[in-house]
Amino acid sequence: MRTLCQHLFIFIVISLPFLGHATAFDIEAMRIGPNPLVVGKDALIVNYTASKAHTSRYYVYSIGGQLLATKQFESDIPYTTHSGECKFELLSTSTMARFKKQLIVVFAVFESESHQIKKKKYVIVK
Amino acid sequence: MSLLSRLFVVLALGTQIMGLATHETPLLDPSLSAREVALSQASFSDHHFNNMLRNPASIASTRGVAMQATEYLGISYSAVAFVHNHFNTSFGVHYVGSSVDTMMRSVVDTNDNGPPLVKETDDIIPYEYHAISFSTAKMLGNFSFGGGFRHKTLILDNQTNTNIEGMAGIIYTIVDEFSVAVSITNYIFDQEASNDLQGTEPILSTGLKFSPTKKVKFFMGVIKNNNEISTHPTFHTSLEYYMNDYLPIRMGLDHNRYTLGTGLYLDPFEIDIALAQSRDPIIDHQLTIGFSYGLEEKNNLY
Repeated sequence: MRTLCQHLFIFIVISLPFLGHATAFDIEAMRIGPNPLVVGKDALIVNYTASKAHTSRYYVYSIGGQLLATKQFESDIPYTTHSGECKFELLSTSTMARFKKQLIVVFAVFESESHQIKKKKYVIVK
Repeated sequence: MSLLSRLFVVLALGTQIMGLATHETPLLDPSLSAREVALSQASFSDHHFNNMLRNPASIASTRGVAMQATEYLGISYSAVAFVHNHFNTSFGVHYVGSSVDTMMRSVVDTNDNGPPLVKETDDIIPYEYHAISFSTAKMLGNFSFGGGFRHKTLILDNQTNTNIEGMAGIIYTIVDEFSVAVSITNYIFDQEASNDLQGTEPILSTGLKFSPTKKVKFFMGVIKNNNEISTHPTFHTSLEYYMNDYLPIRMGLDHNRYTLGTGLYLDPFEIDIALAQSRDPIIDHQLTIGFSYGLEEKNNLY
């Protein structure tokens, strides 16, 4: 009984550091480009690093508040919503060619295991 | 309550029902004063120097200085207006501007068919918006006439888009308590490009004001703005009520969103704050703050 308690105590002490280091959901180094974006020539590209696989939703607004485009992605798509570096084309050149020349605002909503992160980026379309 | 008052209340309530039919977000107009935002853009049939851009006739026989600040989509807009009288004619100047200096230039490296890589540089991309307006107005009997023009500049990196637009308006005061107004704005003389801040289509506004008492003002307006994505006339109604000599409460329906505002009126100084509801869960509400000073004779400022 005494030995069991000693082993149990040692197990708990050893396990404590690992209990505090569960991976938290985070989005880092988000970049959208090219900026400025030239209509008819450039597509809209998104880069970021995610700590976990996640779902994502994107909303593109004009400077006046008009919703221009939306896109959403399921979880764990390679290079789009997986854990790690995500690099993908959000809106194609032909889609961007229909945009007016102005400032646009891109809102991104990332969700993983009930955690939500929102990001906002500005892009000049000329 | 008089028959006219009852009719007005019925129309206002009916307009609310019609106004809630659509879901699109109204285009932001960064030049709107806090009072105009709180009153759902329907107050242009009222003589007030802050209504200059919606109806230039509204500055007739008014004078004052105003500063406004608006925040929308994380971008701040600042505006200043000045209206004064000479030779029984009112003259007004209005400026609104905005800039963003946090956008870093970036390029895309396609990396030989690999995932596209965005590389940021140390350069900041310039973005600025400036609009300056000049108006004049005169009151002749029960009519007020006004006109003016506006010069807008939008700087997108190394590109500069400018346009010049005209505006005109009329206010007819039928009786002291009741007036109607018509105005046309954004009438383009010279246009290089089209965007949300530099629309290509004229904006036609018709409205009325009803003041049953000195403390209460009802407004109603119809605005046809073909620069919106869903182009159709929109209904706007609002109410301004002075709880006492210092505290106005404002509320309204701006097409399909509610607006709310209040102010602190220490004659001739006024502070206004307004909130316009966002119908979109992603976008925050629009917030506008304004400071006005009425340049009246009793202040002996001239």
